[in-house]
Amino acid sequence: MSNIVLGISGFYHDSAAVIVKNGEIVAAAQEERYTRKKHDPRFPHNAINYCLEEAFIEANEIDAIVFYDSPIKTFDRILKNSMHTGANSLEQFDKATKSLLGSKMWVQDHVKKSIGSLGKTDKLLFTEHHMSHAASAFYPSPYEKAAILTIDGVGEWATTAIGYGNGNNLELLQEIHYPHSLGLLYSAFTYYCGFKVNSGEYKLMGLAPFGKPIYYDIIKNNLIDIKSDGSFRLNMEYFGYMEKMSMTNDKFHDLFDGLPREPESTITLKEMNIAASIQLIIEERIIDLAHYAKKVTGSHNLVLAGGVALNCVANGKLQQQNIFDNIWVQPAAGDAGGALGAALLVSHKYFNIPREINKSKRDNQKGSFLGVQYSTIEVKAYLDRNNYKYECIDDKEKLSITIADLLASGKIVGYMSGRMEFGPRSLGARSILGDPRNKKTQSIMNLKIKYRESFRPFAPSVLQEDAGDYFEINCESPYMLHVAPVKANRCNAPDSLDHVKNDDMLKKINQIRSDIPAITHVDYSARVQTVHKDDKVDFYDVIKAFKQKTGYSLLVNTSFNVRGEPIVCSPKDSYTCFMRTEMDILVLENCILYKEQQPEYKDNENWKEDYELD
Amino acid sequence: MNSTNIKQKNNIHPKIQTFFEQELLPLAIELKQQRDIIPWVSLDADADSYFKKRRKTSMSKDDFEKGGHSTLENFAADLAAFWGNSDDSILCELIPSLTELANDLYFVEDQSEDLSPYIYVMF
Repeated sequence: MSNIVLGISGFYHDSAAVIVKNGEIVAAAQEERYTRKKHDPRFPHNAINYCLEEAFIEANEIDAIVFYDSPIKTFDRILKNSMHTGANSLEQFDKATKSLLGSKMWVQDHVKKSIGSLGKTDKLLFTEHHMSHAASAFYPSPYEKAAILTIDGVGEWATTAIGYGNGNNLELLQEIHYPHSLGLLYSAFTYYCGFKVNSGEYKLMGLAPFGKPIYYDIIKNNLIDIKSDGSFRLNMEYFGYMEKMSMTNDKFHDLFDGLPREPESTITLKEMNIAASIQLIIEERIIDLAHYAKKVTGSHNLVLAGGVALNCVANGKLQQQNIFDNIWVQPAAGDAGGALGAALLVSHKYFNIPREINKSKRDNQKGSFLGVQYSTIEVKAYLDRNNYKYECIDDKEKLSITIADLLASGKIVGYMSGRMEFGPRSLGARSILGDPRNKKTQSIMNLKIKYRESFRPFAPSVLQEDAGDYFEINCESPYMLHVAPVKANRCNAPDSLDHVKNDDMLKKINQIRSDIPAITHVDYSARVQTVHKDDKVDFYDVIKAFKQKTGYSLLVNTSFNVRGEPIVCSPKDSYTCFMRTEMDILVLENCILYKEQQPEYKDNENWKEDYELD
Repeated sequence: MNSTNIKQKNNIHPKIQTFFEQELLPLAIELKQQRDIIPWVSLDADADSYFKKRRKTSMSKDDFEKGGHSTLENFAADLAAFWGNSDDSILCELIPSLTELANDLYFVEDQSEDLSPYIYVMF
């Protein structure tokens, strides 16, 4: 008899829904992909509907529905936060109370309104925020036993947790509580450097290699107190978020000699150096916490989740430390993954469904291809209805070779194939692909396709078995969550840029740093995705065909969207993005579309303004 | 809630302001005379560790059902259950006014509004 659990996360950022059946992940989706509002925090009606469709079930057939955290514990924190800070926090208390008592508290009512049922238990279940993160990291991992480390901004009270997983059992042992938070610390610097909190953290991480960590001592001596076991507290005299609607305060600004950078203004050497400094601090903290997790649990394996676990540069540094034999990071490490963790936790701890380790010794995340798929029939129907010209190639080998040939000739390809990814990274189901050998690929993709800042690096997707030919990497990285150095024999000696005294980042960007310049970041690193044939055979075959054509078994892979837009979901989203940008080719399952053959595109939406800058 | 003698601030919900100034802050002042409300905010040079050990490390079947009902009808009872048997039972004094606030605010939030692009969404 089947046991079906619906997990829901929402109301903060990246709301999502997941269906788990007998402990197996059946479907997972983020609401933003349907509503087209990036990081959409609203109740995930659309994602739930998709999950129910994929599982072929009605709402009243669900055994249990679980929400990924505890609104009442969050309310407890809000109330005590205001009591602690006093009269100055009225504005914050007003916003928080409207937000919580206006909507976020009433999860059961949201569920009933959305699907008309609470499932067979007729009662909504709740977990804790970091229990959900921990479960999302441990249960799908390939390990029978593992240490668990979760780090994020805040969930209820906890911001950091160390635990241990063994079979069905999962324990959280020790925590660090709000307001002390590595996620909030990194977000404070994201804000100070003029990027949007909750989405600009990647930019700060990408900016770090351009600078030098000259503010390291200032941060360490003033902003954070670290104990020998890796635990920490922030010096709240420098932060605004306990009482104001601002991450930082005047004392923080004085410490760094100025006000926060205005968003969209020129990025200067100061921001680069600050980014380098806080990145180093965060890397050291994660490594310290990992050491302590090892000491507490004695495990040889570590699993990670929480938004900070998306810091792939830190993950790469952690891997290099060899503290653990094996490390696995949940690809949907942020709040979306909380829905997955909550559903798995209920399966294994509420219903006692036995946890089964993947016999192949790989994980049970299924490559994170857990979202919607559109059939070729559906794609053709869409294209025919709109009189869009396309070529359909049913022979899969011929299709791979055709796409590889186009890439090798310098074309930029929008690629939509198979089930959509769950998590923030495009892994070959909703991707924009390019030739990594081409020195123009990075600037074309950034400026003419993604419409984003020119410094932002691109990631390579490389055949699993060939990864060691290009990168110093000794593990799988199927979810693009590890940064690794490009092999030294592929790198060019850096030009002397000592004369670049100040802010001319472009001089650094435009250096040809290796024979795969489009994916070699300024510090000679790359955010690697290793592609395994079992995870996604069509994508694997395209890269293999590219290898046969060029001798290089990797491609540039970036998310299929423009800046500020959620990753595309449907054929319509893909076609729209294709026509709005300077992409050359669009692949929709077996159909190939050439830009020059398309009818004139009339865009009725003011999309560059609709997509809020990230 | 008595709203006399309250100078209304722009964009602040009047009942929230009344609750904040007439009930929450006075209770906070009273509590602070006995103890810190969040005792772990400040740095502590004498502490060996900042980790807090959890009293309950894993979730039992019952724990999944203890998270409250997340409905307006059960809000007061859920708060009473949450605070009633804890060190914070004094907060139960706030429940009648919080229930009143909940009734006023129930599903009136504009969910399309970002709180602020530059504040972490902590609530």
